[in-house]
Amino acid sequence: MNTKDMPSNQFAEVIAIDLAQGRLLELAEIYAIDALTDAERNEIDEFVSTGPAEQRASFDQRVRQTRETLVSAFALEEADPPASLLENILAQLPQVSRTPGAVAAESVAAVEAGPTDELSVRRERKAARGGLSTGRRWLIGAAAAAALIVGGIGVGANIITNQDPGHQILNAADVKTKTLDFPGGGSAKLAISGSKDGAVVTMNGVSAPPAGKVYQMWLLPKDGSAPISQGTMDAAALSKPATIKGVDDASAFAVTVEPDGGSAQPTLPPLAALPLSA
Amino acid sequence: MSADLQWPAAPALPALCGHRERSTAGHPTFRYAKPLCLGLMDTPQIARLPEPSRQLHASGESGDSERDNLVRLISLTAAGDQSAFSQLYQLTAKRVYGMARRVLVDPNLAEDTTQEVYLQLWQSAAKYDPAAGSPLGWLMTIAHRRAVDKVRSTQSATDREARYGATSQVIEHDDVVDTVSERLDAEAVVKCLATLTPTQQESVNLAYYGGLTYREVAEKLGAAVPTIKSRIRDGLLRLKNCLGVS
Repeated sequence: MNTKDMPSNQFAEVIAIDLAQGRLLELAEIYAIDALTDAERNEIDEFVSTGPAEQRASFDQRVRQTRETLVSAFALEEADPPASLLENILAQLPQVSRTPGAVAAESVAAVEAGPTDELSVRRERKAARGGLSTGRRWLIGAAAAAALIVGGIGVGANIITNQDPGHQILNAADVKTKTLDFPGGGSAKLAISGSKDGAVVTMNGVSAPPAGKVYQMWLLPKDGSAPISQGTMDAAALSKPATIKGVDDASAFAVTVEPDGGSAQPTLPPLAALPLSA
Repeated sequence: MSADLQWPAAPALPALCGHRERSTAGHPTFRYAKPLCLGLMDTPQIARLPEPSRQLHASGESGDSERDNLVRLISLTAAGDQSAFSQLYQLTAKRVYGMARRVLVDPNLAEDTTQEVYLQLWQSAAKYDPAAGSPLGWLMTIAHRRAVDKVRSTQSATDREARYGATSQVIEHDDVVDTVSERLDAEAVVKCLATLTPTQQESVNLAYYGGLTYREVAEKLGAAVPTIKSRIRDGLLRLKNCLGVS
């Protein structure tokens, strides 16, 4: 199809139409430079992964060439990162699980290990400066958690499939979407409606939780009271939208990894978190 | 008040909260990249590598040996070798941080982004496939993606437009200018960038450095969406051909 001399090189208004009209390859540059929303990127990824292999190969090659071009011509500047950065990164490595196939994943228990004294001291200094907003702190915590996902197959149950409120939320006039990227890849899309005081959470490309673990969703109340569980998700539930309630009074949405069946209180750090106030 | 107080935060955020030990003194200096960065942050366990050649290859790396070296370091990193990981950082972090600074401007956000990039590298080094692109291309793809995600979540499109709205080229932008024009390496890039039309440059700059989507670029420029898609595509294709990327 793309090898045709079709005169359809003229782009359309929306990506979906470009794809439908056979312009996947023409989107490679826009894709490679990240000039897409997450939803559009997902749309293209899905189109590519469900299409013929040779189409995929052509697209991948063109994306790769564009990326090399960008590295050569745009990502040229050098600046010195803070001297402490490498040390800080190294200090976190033991907490970061590895992609399966690399090495045996570090124990999840490592996450529970306390920080070294030096780090505690620095953190306190940092806290004393009052640097981070709640949201930022959360997001950084999520980055620190980075993996926890070991790509096993989830075992638990607790599939959340309450579609009725979900429909109401999705059809609400004030519905807005936010995307929460997972450090290990994939994202959660939240369709949030203030008028319905709820959100529909859809996972996209998120790895299954490790064996014996589930993901658990939380809302953090604005008033600072304890996080409220919004249910758990195992591997099977990941493909289904989940509905959560009480977003109006929440300052953030977060996902943690918990033992099967979920926990009464979140296990830190969160895998991913999203401020809801902004 | 803030929700995080509810959590036993201490064990949760170890190094990340303590990592901002920087002097408040000033801006990092931007320099034009050598093909690879070396040296400044060497730690005792890390061997110095020879100064790379100044020739700029289309891949953005300075040649087969450096490329091979990075590939090797990534595969060692995939096997859990922290020393290889450190070396990889030494060789590439200025580039990652430089780009993050350019996109995010805020040094704290750039630092966070850089940190996330290397944690992701550590986590997913096993996924790197040399057949699928150069190591630096792979790394900078991760880095740009993260920088763009962060800039979109922290800064309005308007702010980003304002910053990169001018049609000025990359190289005329700031204090990169002097050093860049001095360098032999840069000439091919400068020459090739100059083959882009001003409108192509503008759209590509807004997308790459501003983190704007094609739709935001179109809104910003008051141009039709299909037009902007074409400009980005055509500009990058032209650049690719000029640089001889294969």
